[in-house]
Amino acid sequence: MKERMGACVRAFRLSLPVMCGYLFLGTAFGATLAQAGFGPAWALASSCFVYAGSLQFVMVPFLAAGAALPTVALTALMVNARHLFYGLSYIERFERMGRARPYMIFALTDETYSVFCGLPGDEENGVMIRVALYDQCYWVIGSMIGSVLASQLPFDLTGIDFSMTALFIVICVERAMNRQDRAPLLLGGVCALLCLLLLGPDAFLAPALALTAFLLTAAEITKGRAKAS
Amino acid sequence: MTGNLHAAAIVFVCAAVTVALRALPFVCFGGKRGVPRLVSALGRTLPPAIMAALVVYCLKGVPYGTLADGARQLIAAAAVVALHVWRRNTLLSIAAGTGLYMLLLRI
Repeated sequence: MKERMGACVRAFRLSLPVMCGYLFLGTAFGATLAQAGFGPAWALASSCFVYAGSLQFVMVPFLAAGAALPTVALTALMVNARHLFYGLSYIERFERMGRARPYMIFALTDETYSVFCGLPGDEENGVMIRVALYDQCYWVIGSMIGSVLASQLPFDLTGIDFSMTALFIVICVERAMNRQDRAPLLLGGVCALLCLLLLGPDAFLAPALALTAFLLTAAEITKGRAKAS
Repeated sequence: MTGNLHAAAIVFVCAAVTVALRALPFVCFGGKRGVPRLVSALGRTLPPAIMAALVVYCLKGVPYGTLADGARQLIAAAAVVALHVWRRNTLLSIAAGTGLYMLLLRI
């Protein structure tokens, strides 16, 4: 009992930055969707089953216009292609998740992934599962609030979504303290920056990650050869 | 009614594509198949690289937006880095950085 409470508290603390971002962005999503004529049931269904922030925003005009399904599928593929790379680090770790494994795979958003990136390798299952679950709860609750209140929010919270950026930065700084993480950190940043400047802000992340993965693999092969000879 | 049905199909397609993308690495390398050496090496080196790329993703508006907005984001980002190197308190760094950004937006 006490152990379970400990896991709840730790997971809550870890998920606090995500809470700020998800409640706010979820609210913005719910309100945008409501303005397009799709009420709370649609917000609930999207946030429960799609559960991918940027794609859900892209989805709104599609819903309003009744876009063709192949267009929707292709856009979803492009917007979310970065998710291909997140699972690679958790293949073995999630094997040990038991019955929660399918949910953990489903719920691996940018933010949940980054909280996991900041955890020690031997983190308890209970904590990781709760972080994933709490994060989705914040997102669902946020989108319901936005959907019901639409644009009549009592306070001006513009800018609170910067907490997502801040969370990612903090995890980068933490990672930079480990000597062996510095080279990939730098490589990832430089590739992303280059792709941003070359390809523009709309579709640069997936190519940047593909380039980074290619270079990291090439470096690993070279290192293996150097060791062998 | 067909409108609603089509909208439901749109939500379904988005959900299916997203879950397929998230599941693909686990389907390819999970279970008894085992993880090839290069992929497991990538699994170790990719997280810090992805985190750096996500920071660039969050700040992607800086080179393309207005100077004032870019400056606000960079100042707040620098404050998060400085505060975190100094105190190493995750919640403090995030709360102070976000607060500073919200303040800068309002002056």
